[in-house]
Amino acid sequence: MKSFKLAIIGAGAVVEKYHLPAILKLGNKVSVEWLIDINYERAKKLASLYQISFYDKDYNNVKDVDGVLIAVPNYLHAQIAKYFLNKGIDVLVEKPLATSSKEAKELVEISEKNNVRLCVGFVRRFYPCYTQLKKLVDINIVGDINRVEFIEGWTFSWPLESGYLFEKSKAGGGVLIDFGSHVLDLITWIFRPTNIIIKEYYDDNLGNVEANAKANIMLTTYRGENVNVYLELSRERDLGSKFIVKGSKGLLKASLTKPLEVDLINHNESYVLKSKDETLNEIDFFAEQIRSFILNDGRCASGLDGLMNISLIEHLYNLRKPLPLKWVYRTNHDVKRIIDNIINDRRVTALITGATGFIGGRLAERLILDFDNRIQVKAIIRRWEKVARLARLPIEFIKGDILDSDVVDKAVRGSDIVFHLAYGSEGSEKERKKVTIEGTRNILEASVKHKVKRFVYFSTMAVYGYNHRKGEVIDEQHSLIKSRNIYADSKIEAEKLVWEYYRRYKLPVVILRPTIVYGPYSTWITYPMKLILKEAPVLINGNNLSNIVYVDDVIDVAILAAFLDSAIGKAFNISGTEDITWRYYYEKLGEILGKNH
Amino acid sequence: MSFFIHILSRSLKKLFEKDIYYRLAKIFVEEIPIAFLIARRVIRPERVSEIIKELQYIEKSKEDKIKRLSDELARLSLPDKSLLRLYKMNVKFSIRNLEKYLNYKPRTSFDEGLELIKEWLQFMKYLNDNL
Repeated sequence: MKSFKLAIIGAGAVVEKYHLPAILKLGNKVSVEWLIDINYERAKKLASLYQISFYDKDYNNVKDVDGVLIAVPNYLHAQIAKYFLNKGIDVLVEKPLATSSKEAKELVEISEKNNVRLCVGFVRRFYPCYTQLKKLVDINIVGDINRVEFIEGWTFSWPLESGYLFEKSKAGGGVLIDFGSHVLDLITWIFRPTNIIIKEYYDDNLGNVEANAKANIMLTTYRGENVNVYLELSRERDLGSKFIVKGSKGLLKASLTKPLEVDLINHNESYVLKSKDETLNEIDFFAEQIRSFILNDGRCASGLDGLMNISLIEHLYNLRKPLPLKWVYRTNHDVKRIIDNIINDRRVTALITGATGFIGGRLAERLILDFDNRIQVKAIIRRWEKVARLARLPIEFIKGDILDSDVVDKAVRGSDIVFHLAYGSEGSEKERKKVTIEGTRNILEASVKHKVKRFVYFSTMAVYGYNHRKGEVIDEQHSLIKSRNIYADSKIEAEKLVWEYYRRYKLPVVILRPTIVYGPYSTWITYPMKLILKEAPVLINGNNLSNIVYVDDVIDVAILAAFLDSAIGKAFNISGTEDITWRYYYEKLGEILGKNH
Repeated sequence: MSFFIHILSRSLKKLFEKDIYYRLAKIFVEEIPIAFLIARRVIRPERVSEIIKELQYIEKSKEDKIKRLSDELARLSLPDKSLLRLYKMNVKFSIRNLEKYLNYKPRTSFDEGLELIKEWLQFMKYLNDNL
């Protein structure tokens, strides 16, 4: 391989985790001369780690290179690629090539006009499981292909440096354009369709970027087979990774979790075809992609491939229908009517702390869906990794910690309502207590400063303690009793602060004390189900009342409390009205699972 | 003391089952320097390595036993203390304030809630797989 000088634009997680270690594997013929990132300190840090001579904030300063690798937020792909293509420099762009087919087409035209290479980082083409599968399809090993299933889903855990993936304008979409672009590229690369008909496409986008997507596509392969393709993608559900190709004689299976092998089931015989080199890993696949780009050996996805990919994605988005998720669309029209009368045509801004949690997430959903975007929602979030589900909604995210008063001040500024749900859930008892109490103090302080119209604090029924007379009815007048439970005791302290700000600063506060809240994503569902599935003893006196309440009822109360003046200065227990015992609760969950517990 | 060490060195394994002897043995070896015990002729030098070995064996057995127990507990997913206290509570929470100040009563019946949960579990593909 001839010497090759490379510039890398973008110093985010993919560059740190894969591209830079991959380039090291290519030996000293390939050198990274420039590392550019808008975060200068980050570029400097990585440049120093990998002994890169030049680092900068501005890609305009790059010179004397043979090629450029672009790994920046999606919306910048086209702009930066265009700049280098116009300078006659070969470009490898991370997927997707651009966020629109219009931009992608322009890039392809420039690369053709200037006779420079434009490649796209569809690195999965270099995973042995997929290359092997392609070869097997090409030699017709499973006969005429009639069905393809590609199911892939993970709980999002990518260590994002920025939150661009959760902004539609910057990412271009959600899971479909994210790793769905890889999936679509594999399908078009392997089957080289002459015709594609999208039968249906569903996703769960609620105004921003989808976390789940499903599609049924009919394609005609280069050999003339008509193939039904079923896609299911998720970045909130652990669906694993399954790529299944069904033919008249058998089937092929590949998975990202076993990147070195393909399963072949033919005439009832089962084979596992493994890569010769069992030591290969993801970094090797990235290295192979860069090698291919440098050598121009035709294995790297071209600009045209990238254009086809984004065109297909656009087409899918254009045919979008909402996923039918019954538990999402549950407006309480009585509550809505009351609130509609109060807010009229005004736009209201609500800040939610703890929005990545089960109740906070549902609150954000209901505020946005029930009031047709008239309530604008902001959320303080600590880590981007937890935002995938919430990012379906058009929420303004403010990254930071509630212990950071600058972050809190920025978030509270301009908010009419603050729903404070965040509490210390990680770290030592001391750290958890600090987040719950001092975090609450910060939010209260900023709420007073910015004249928030309503402060709704989510406390818990655990503030009443655990030792009560049998059959006792606990109302809001009941004293708050510490129980040596850090969660409950810290909430008592936080409540004291809330009342103090109510009395001293006349901050219009409301305190909610929900009981056992169940609903989708609740640990009160997943935890008992784990016990039931393990057939573990539940160890409870099953005849006591569970006091469970469905999450939407809690949200109804939170919304009313945020708008009705009659709520100010009050605390509210929120419990279900039916007498459901723990035994009944567990039995019913067991029935759903088909187990009698 | 001499008598006790004698007993300890001879039949420690048998006595181990009774935890009190184990603890006493640990105090002797960990908290009183062996050299001191030798100087005071509480134990004979030639017995030292043997006693330590036995105690190490006991320590190991004890660790294994604790590990087995904790593995078993983990399998059972025993609820933590606060959860047990919650299950033990037999109380009802008044929602009088909700009705009085917000004119609101929870609307979702348990059956309806379960139906929604069932749909969600199907979507999450939890019903066919282990959680």
